[in-house]
Amino acid sequence: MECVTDEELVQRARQGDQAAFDEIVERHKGPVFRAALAALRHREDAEDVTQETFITAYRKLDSFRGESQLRTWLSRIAWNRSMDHRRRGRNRRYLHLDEPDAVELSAPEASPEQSTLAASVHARVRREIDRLPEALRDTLLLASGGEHDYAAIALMLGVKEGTVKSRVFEARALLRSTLQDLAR
Amino acid sequence: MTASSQFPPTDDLDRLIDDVARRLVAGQPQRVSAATIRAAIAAAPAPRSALPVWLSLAAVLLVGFLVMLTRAPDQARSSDRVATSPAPIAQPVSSPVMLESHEERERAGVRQTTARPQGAAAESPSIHEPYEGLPRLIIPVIEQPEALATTALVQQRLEIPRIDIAPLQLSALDHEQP
Repeated sequence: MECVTDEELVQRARQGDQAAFDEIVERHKGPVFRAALAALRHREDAEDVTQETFITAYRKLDSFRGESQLRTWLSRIAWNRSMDHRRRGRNRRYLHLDEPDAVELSAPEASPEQSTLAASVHARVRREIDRLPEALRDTLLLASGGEHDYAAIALMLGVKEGTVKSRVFEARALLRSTLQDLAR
Repeated sequence: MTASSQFPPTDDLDRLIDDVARRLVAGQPQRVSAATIRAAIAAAPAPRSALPVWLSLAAVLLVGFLVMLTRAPDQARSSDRVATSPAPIAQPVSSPVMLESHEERERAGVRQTTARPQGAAAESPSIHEPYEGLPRLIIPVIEQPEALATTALVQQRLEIPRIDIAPLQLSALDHEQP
């Protein structure tokens, strides 16, 4: 089913083709999960939101008019669900630096000391990202994922595309400024 | 060597920021798959929409509001006007109640007398357009007084009965003893 377009899958899923909906899930669960993760920064909550998103999408598939990409539509549902989670205060835990999926920060050939230092630098950058104002942080994380262009992010957040651009710019400028101060 | 001294030069900071941000939102869901979602959909029936309840409630409220609006719009409007009118009494020119001369009043009386039998409209005379700031003035019909009839006075003779006056008699006065 790889060559089938999203529109065809939606058509078939609307007619009750369960396999078509399964394909939609498998094709888009990654981007949906990462959108939720950008909002919640907690993997378990993001998985819950991903699950809820596809259940909602299944029930509201008829309301998808194809005005945006299916991925954007799904990500918007995920984003709204994530905001609900956030409001209910369910995402109390944030991604910890010592989580098992914490990134491998250095090249394989790096020495243990270099690896430790790189990890420390990355940890500091993470902390500074966490300290950004919510709107800037959300937009920066969505944009950094690379899965949504600015227009899609604007649709998800319900703001103008120019606002997305300026928020990303501002977030980077703030981080640059803070990190430069730290480097001195 | 500290972590601070390991920060890259400015040019590379953007790359570092993007790299860290991308890693923050990287990964795949471990528990979510088409099978788990299918199972969840089967397990949880679609919630019943509460829309009809809201619609009916909204309709009831709307109807009630409309009824309230249509029942007493004039009262509310006139009382508002009176309340907000700056000085309604100071508008004698536009006031329908005006002093009339004696002749005018008489003519109006004649007109009213002749117009009265024509119908109910004559019972509450319309007084032009009421002044905006005042409630409409309704003047009840003033019944035409009956013509004054005077009966002729019959002159009667004034009879004064004769009064007999007895002559005044004075008794002799006794002198008081000193």
